[in-house]
Amino acid sequence: MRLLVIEDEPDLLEVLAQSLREAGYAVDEASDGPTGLYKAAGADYDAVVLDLMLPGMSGWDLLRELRKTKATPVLILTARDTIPDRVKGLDAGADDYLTKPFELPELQARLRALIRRSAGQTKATLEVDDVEIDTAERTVRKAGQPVALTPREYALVELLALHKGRLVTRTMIYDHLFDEADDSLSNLVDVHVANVRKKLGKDFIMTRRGEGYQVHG
Amino acid sequence: MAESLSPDPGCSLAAPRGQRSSGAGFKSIRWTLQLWHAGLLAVVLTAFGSMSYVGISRMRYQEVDTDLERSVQGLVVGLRPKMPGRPTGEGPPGVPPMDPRPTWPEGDTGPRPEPPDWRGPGPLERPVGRPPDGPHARERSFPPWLEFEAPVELDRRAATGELYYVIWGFDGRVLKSSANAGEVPDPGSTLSSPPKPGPPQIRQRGEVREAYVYGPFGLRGLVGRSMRPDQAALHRLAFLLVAVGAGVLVIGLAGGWLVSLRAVRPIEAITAVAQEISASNLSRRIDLAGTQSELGTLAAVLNDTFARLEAAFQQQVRFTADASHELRTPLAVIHTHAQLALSRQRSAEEYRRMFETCLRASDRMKNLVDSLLLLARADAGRLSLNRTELDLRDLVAECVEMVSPLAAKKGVTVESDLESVTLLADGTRVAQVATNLLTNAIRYNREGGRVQVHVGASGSDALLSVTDTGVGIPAESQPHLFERFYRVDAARNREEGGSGLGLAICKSIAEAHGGTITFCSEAGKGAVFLVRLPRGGADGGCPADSLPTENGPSACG
Repeated sequence: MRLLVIEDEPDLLEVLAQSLREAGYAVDEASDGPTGLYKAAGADYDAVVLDLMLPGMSGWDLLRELRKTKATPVLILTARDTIPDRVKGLDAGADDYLTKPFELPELQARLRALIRRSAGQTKATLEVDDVEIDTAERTVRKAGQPVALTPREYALVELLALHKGRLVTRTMIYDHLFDEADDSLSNLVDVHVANVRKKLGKDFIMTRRGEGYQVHG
Repeated sequence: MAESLSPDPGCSLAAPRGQRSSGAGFKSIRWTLQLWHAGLLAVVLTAFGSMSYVGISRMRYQEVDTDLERSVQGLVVGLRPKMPGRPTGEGPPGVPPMDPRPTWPEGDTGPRPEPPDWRGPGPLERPVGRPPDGPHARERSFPPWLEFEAPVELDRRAATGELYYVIWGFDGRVLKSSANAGEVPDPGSTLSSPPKPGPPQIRQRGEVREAYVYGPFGLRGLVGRSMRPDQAALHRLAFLLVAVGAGVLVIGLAGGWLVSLRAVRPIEAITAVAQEISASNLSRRIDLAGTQSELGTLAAVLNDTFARLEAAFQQQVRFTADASHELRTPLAVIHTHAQLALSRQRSAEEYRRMFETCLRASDRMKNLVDSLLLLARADAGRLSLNRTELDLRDLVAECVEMVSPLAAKKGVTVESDLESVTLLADGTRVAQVATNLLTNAIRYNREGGRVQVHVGASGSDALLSVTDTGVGIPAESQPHLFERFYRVDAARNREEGGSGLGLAICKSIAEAHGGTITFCSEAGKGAVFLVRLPRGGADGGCPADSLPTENGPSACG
């Protein structure tokens, strides 16, 4: 899962990015409005964390611009906590609103919920055949037995399970699993797929040659 | 936290509801007015009515009395014996003779006995009021056969029943009376001695009013009339007066009620609006269309007050929101870092880095809290200044030294032109002002720009001016420049942005010293800030207001 954090306070941006990366997300960063909009509009993020008071362009303006092209889930994270501010933010197209100071677990839970909902899922637990994926705990069980996955492998499984029954292209996997800092080569996706197949069974991931991958619906 | 910071929904400032209805009791202005009005009207009407009644009644009685007096005088003067058998050529008996002259016989004795000696004292010596008894008495009275005639007019009026008359001889014998006279007490009957002739007198006897007069020879004439019709007329008049008075009172009260209603209605409207004004709803205003006169002025004054209240309140709300925003960001940094640090085991290097960040954030919070505290103290007039004799040149030179790393980083040249000026001031605070201005001048300068610092004296003032070649201040921002948390660029990069309190603090410090801070700027051409501090260290007070409007030339020159 790949996130974009737009925050102008460097210390806060740093801690947000670090904590989300530690939670298994690929995280891109932007410290001003125009950069944030450029990045948000240029890639398919699973969610955007947006501050409102930004240099160059306010969060509301950024959101209105973004909504012209993208339906990416946006969580506003701001110190502005008055009701009119919340209303204005949500009406501008935000999906959630969280005020500073905030709790990291809550921020992560809200992001999980946003990502889940945007993929059309409502439960925190995803099931594909006998494989059970707990998105809150970030654990995977096969036939009731826990299976140890690396964060990247887990992210791949979650991405495929969120889109189960649908094609997930290699580009999508790149977009959602790796952030801009990742200097990865394309065959790494194949490595992760192979590893997941080893752990969850050969048939768990179906290859659609030349297009991408899919798990059973 | 969100709820506690948003304005209290209308409880604190709103007046208790329901006061309006209870306030309109009998102690209300309206009722007081009405009661006074009613009382005054009643007094006036009563006074007018009774004066009218008394006046008219007295006038009527005077008329009657005058008439009676004239009549009774006419009766006594016009009384004359009737000569039987004397050819008078008159019509029916009772019709007065044409000759109005007294026809008392003089020499015309004829077959009758001598009339009594009118001029003699005899009859007058006789006690009046004693009924004529005995032949002696009769002898000294008018002869019984002598008949008298009253003046024609009197007879005519007696015939209509309008009045009656009686005339007694000195012995109390009724010499002549009108047919409708009835039993009339002789006014002379109670006198012990014969009364002297005199002016007519009036007496009231039950319903009748009588005028009597003592004439010559002990004659007593009386003319009377019943006052019943007059009294009935007066009663009708009284009734009419009462009815009209009551009517006027009712109309007056109703009119007064309406007038007071009209007068009070705007007050009620004003009250209603004032009650609706609360912390959460300060935007209500009194409708000035329906109110004229003094109330219109009052409403305008109140509206003006409401507007200022709203402005002050909004400023307060904005300030609180800004302050909380500014405090929350570093708080969020500290909080989140602590959470992240504790979320798993980390290396010593990682912990150190996180603590450094937390320290940076807490420093920022500390500065902000210090600034807010300073401003709050300045607002309360309790900014304590530790004044010492100092040289502004040395102090500013130190500040220039202090900001030189920042200037070097931005590639800005700082040029100093400092004269030695001693003044009595709080060195720390003045240094704060100088540093703030210098930092701003460097921050908002262009790459490779210049900052010029001048220190000098002008009269009894020490001057510090800081000129930069930066972006300048747009005209629309200039009126707000000294407002707290005001930023020319609302969303400037945090790395270079301050708290937005710097200039507000400079202003507070300058004013606490009894000085001023002014500026002059043109967008794109840099800005000049001029601080003027009294050298003697005059006390704070409120110097000529240093709103940006008065800035221009003084700072630019």
